[in-house]
Amino acid sequence: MAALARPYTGPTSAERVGLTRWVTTLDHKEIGILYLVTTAVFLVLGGIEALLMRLQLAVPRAEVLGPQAYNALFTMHGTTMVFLVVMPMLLGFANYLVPLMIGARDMAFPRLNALSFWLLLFGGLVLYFGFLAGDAPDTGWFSYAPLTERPYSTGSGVDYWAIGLIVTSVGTIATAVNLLTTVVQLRAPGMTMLRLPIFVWMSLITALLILGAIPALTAAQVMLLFDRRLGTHFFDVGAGGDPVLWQHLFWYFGHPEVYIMVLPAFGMISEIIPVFSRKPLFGRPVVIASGMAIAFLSFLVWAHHMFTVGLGQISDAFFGATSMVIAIPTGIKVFSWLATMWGGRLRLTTAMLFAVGFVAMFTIGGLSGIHFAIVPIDWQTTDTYYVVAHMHYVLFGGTFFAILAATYYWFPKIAGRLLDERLGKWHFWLTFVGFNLTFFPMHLLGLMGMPRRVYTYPDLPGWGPLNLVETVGAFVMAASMLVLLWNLRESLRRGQPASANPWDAWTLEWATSSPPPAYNFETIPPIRSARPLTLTRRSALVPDPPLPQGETPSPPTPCPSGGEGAELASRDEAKLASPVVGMLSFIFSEATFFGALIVAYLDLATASPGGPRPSDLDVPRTALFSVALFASSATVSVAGRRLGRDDRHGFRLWLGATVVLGAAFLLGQASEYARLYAEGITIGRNLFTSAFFTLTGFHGAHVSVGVLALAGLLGLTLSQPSWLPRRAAVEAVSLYWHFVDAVWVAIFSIVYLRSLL
Amino acid sequence: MSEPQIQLPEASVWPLALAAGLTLTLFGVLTSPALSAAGTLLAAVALGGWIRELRHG
Repeated sequence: MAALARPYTGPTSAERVGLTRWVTTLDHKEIGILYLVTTAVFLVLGGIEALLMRLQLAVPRAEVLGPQAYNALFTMHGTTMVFLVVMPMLLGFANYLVPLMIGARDMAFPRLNALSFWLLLFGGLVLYFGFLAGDAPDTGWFSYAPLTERPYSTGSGVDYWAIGLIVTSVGTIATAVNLLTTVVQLRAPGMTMLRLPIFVWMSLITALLILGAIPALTAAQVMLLFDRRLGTHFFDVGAGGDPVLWQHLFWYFGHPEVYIMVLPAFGMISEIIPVFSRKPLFGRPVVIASGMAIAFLSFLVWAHHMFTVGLGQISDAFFGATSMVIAIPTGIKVFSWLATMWGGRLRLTTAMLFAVGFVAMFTIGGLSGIHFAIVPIDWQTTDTYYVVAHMHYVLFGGTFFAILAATYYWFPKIAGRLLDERLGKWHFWLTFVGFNLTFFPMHLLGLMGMPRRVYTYPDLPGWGPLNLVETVGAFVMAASMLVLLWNLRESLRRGQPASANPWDAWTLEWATSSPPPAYNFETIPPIRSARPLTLTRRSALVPDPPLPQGETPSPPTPCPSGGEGAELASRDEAKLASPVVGMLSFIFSEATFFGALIVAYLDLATASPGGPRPSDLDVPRTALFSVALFASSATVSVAGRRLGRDDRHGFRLWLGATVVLGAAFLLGQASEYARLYAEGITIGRNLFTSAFFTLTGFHGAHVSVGVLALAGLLGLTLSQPSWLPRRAAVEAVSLYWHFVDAVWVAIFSIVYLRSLL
Repeated sequence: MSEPQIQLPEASVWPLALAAGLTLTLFGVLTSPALSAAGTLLAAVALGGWIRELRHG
């Protein structure tokens, strides 16, 4: 056994009670539970919205809901399910499981982890505030422009939608930074990358997808809000704006988002099927590689959502081809699961039933997805119920079945009690039947031409009966969820206690008690393969039990590296400090954000019919204050080196120089804005000014944050001469500073130097 | 040789406060500048508390 350490449980959550425990917790397991409970509440809300829609559509020309209410319901249903249920529920599982699976005590940044959860909750509340205040968004979950522009959506629903999602997105990005850093930095000794459980691998790839995709949506939502609140013209057709830009940015986020919601589900299934087949996962390395391939390709397929826009034959051919290619790595995974089951000793527990159901339903959804890669078929079926059928086979029959499989599989670990298998099987079959009754007929209705997002429909042949079947199916699914809720309630109250490893599974989370103690592991087994618990059994070793109740743990000692981002599990081969890895991940997301703003600038800046134009900018003057910013990259590097040599005076001096140079740049930018405004060149004047002020303004905001952070650091070192910051923290702040400098190099070249050509 | 010691993070209210402050700041943009101001203040206090905890942690 490799002893990680004698743990100190201290005044952690276990010693706090009631609300205080939950609102102050930093324990990844408790935060994971908060995610799961919160998303379950949003699931109920999203489900009720779906049932109301199905009631309205049960028969032709029904009058349960008016068109406005129906529009609001389908908008809220889609937004809720994507942003407040599926994605955060998967992140909730990752939160709970990833540290346990890699032998860590917590996430790399426990406070950031808690912040992420609260941002999810508060973002969701902002979204639902608009809904409950009678100002619900009603423009669909992808909120196409120009419908979302002020003249066509006069209420505040779209604003609540955008702000609510921006808040949740910041939290999601923070979670991705945390997950990535945790997996890179906090793996237990012996847990090499190739030995990581597949769920961890898929969570890692998902984190990268989040960082590369979600900021594009955030940038688009910022532009939309600026159009609506500050009078810019990004998507304003009347002023020459480009509504198709919204579609590009949205789907650049939107298609990777599909894989953000699917890859962790692949990971869950890849854990569950081998355990209940009593065989290792077939083609494990290929499953990992196919996950990476899916992630890469997912950034090259977005325009298949836009074939009806008329992007041209070359574009259609490219995106059609990439959309077909992405089916290959996805298909590889399906074959891997089938080959794992083939010849295995199958145990058809409820978790396994849902996993098998996932494989079947997801395959149907995947196959109908390939149809949308064929441009003429897409033209015929787009915006029909065929799309609704496809997406629900992927996201409900696929991802949600996997979530349910994961619920039955990991509930014993989380709650310390087994779910009732008899009720579980009732739950599975009701879900399976209800799901197929609801969504399979949608394929037929879509091919018959029934459009999606209509609040009612004429009594055409076959439409009424098929819609009625769908509504019956939706209520069967609702009944199945009641069975699950009852099962959860009864199991929590009097379920059979779970042992540490009730399924004879092989991954590390099963090496500790159910539920795990606050410190996760007293000791961990030696990790010499991807299935560490197999080795444990062979060598007749069993995990040590947690410290008995009441036994005093060893007293606390300061963590050597201390503070946020400390290495909570011992790790020999760490090359970079956690704050540095975290900052690099964050910079990746920021690059996506600025990339989106730069694309918007390039698309719009020269499209204005009249002035002002880029040529109205004072390039030499801007070049002058740009020099200050570029020089500050050098001074912050020197400051870091002086800190490394323990040269306190030099560190303060060069840090101070960086602050002064950064402030000089900001003053220069402020004077440029003042000159432009004095000449009547304001943000809402035309397309160029919209794009210019938004791009340079956000850069200026980033520089301001950097100056404040550096000034704060300087203030602390001056007020307490004996104190110096950790090198890793300074290194991370320096990286951020270099990044804002690099962004300015791009902006200066694209906006200013290009105007001289 | 003594075993390495590991300290688990203690509970903290600052992440909740910072999230509330940031959300309130943005929510105020749609509703009232006073809410934005209160949110900014709350976020600043929370950030200060967070940094204090890290320094003394």
